[in-house]
Amino acid sequence: MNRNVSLTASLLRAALCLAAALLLGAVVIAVAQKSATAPLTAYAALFKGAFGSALNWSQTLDRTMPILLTGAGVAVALAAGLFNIGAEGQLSVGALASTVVGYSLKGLPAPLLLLVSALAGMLAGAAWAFLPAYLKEKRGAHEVITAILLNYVAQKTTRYLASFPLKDPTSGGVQRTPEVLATFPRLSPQYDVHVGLIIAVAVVVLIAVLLRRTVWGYETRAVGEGAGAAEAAGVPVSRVRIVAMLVSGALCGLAGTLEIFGPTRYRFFPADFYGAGFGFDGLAVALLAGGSPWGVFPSALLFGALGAGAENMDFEAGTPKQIVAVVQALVILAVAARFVARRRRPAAPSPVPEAAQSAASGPTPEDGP
Amino acid sequence: MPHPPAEPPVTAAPAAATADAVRAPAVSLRGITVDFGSVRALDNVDLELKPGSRHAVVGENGAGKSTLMKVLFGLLRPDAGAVLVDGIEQRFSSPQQAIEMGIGMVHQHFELIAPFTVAENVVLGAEPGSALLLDRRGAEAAVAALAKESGLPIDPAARVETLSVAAQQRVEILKALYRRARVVILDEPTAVLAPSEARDLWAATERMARAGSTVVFITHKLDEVMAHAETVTVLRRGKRVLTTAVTDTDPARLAAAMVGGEAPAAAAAAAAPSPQPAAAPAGEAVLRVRGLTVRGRRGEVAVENASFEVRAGEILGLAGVDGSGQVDLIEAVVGLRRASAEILSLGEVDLRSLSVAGRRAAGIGYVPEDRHHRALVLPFTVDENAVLGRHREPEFAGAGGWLRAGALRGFLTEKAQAFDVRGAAPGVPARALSGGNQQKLVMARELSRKPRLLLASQPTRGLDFAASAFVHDALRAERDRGAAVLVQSLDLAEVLALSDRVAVMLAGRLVAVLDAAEATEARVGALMTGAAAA
Repeated sequence: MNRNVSLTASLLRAALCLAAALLLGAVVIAVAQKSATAPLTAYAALFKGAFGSALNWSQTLDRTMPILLTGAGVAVALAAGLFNIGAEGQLSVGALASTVVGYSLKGLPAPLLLLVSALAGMLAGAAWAFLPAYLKEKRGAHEVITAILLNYVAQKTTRYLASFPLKDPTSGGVQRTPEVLATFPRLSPQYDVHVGLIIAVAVVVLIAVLLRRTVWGYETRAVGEGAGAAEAAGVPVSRVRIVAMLVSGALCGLAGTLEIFGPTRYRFFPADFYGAGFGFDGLAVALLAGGSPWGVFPSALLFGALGAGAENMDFEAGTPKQIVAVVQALVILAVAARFVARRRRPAAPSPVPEAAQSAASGPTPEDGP
Repeated sequence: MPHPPAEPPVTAAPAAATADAVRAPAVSLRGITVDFGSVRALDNVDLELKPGSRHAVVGENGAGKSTLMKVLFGLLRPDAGAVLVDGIEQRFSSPQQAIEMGIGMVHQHFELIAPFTVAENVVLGAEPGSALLLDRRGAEAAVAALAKESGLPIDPAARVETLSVAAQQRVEILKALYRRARVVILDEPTAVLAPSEARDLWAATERMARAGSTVVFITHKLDEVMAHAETVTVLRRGKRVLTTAVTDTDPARLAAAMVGGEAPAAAAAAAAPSPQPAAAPAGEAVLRVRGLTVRGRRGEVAVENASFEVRAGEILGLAGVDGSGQVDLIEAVVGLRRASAEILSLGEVDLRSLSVAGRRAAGIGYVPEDRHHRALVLPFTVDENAVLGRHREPEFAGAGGWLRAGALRGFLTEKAQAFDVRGAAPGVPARALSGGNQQKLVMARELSRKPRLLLASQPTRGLDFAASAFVHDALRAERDRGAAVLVQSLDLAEVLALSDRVAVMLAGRLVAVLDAAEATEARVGALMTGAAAA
């Protein structure tokens, strides 16, 4: 198909999904606050909180950064026909691994320390993604099931590690690791948003280009769109799928690293880190983007804005910020409904494997502990 | 499960109506027009179906046959025109309404639930018994009675997954009859049948017509039209060009109507395929297979101890009824299936330890049966599809693993021209091509590496005769170039027309390899159905 046409079409579909979600969300707000005008006030405050000032923009972009990476990660797996629902677990494992490196390697110059830490985060994320991929290819275990289970393992394990063996002895009652020895520089002294944003944007662009223009991307997409034909043509289908999951996990691990090494956010790994929700946001964002890495940009910005604007909506309009989670869930539902509608017309298969449809209604960001 | 006695009264079954009690309604389609986007699939088409007759619908790929049948069965709403049943205009918005008017359809791809029994499949959606409890015995008795009176023998208690394709087709027809279909649409019904099975099917349709039903069938085989229809309608590019009694026409005239103007030689040849033996005698064995055993998806033995060879400069045809293990055998040679063999070699190369990619590099070209799932990545562009399997070659993959988009486009343009792949402009998705052009694209790709061994599975399935003739010519050209060619087809006429030698499979075993001279339709037909021993 003409790629421009399909891009326009998928943007339009995403916009329709968003519009439907906002409309349904408005009904929820109107009912909850018993006021017909409440939705307008709430959305205005939400918008202002997301984009009203440079500071708001900065907060929005700061939240967008990790979602860009997890969204691109999930999109890579989707391209190969896999649904990486383990993004959240990979993110937390990557975050912890990079933190450990970040506070252990004393004496390294800051840029090198950041680089090594990021590599550690990516490696850990990839390793966590390898398990479901390997079990699927060699044992036939469904990657959605194993990845969901591994999310729990990641959650409990990182919490235990940060609470006991790796706990900062000087942090007293606070269950967390020691602080890392370097952080990414801010882009501007007044605002939180840091160099990680540039890294995230560059990585998404890189992924989009690689998927489209390289032999690796060609084989990945071939396996995702027509595994039977790819196999008959001699493409090593299992290996391609495993590599796609490794890349997906690495990007999620990198997202965790950027969170920890931001100048203001954490700088250490808190025991209850899991539940930051950026992994699950990445799933929703990749689905909303229809699996396209380019589509991850607007989708991630949307979710970043919803997250950043929620506080202001609560503060200014008195609308509970949890409503944002409702809107996000409605977006996912709208996307899922679209897949269902498209499945009924066999001529237009969805770009997302079946598993995605069942999983899309699964955990939301609020599912964390 | 024991065969149930026929005593219980078949109260709830709607099919209790006997086959000859109700005459089919007179159905007419008037001025049917269907647009798919900017493409007019059907243009003001009329079709009159007389009760108690058999009506054939023929035409090239994309002529609109299936679209017209979908309108009749309520799967598609026409943009203009009317469907009249007994003179009353109907607006079908779903097949359910068509079924209520007595119209049934048997699709090319069956829609049966494999683990269910025949009776369960037949009554599904119109089950006898209460809402909670299925009257299994009643259902089986009703189906048995219906099978008997309609001349479609079947065991109602058998599970569908254990049945042959021909039997599954009978189940589909019974499903329609059980819903009191008096107008039965059959979409290419003999495409998957052996000759003897096809004869049984035609006998059943004759019986249905005698009992007052109407049978409409789509086919590509003009001899079937002449032998088994009273009336024939020819469609060409969405328009009806001819409706006539078959007694007033002949295959040449029908072929001419299908392609337009005078009947070109290729069309005439395809309408009555004739063997064209190899110009030179076959050379050395290229593919050597001894003791090949392949397990099926569920662990059953799909191919048992097969031994054969394919020589340079010959076409070996592989005949057999559907599901005899042909696909498993070919997939095992390509490397898509795990198999054990004493010998599996291509020239001097032992294939057994090689991957699919390794076997292709050793010189295997492969035209799979399933174009949409095995041959093409449908959402990919034609450029991307044209190099699938060759995309790692330096010609297409530059330094650092970057694909050379320009080289892909150039290769596609060259091949599309050489193979007359219409509509294959760079950037077009493969799914946008018609079946015939998709197949030409696959052939162009597979022949581009000049394979030593070419494996072709059902290479003309669903193609019109111009495209079929093209594919046949290409296969013969490969043979004449000196390649070893293995062609598998469920269409026995195709196997006989192409092959220098014919191998016959029956239930997973290679039962005979015959020279073209011995391979008569009667002999091969008997071997593939087990009616004769080798």
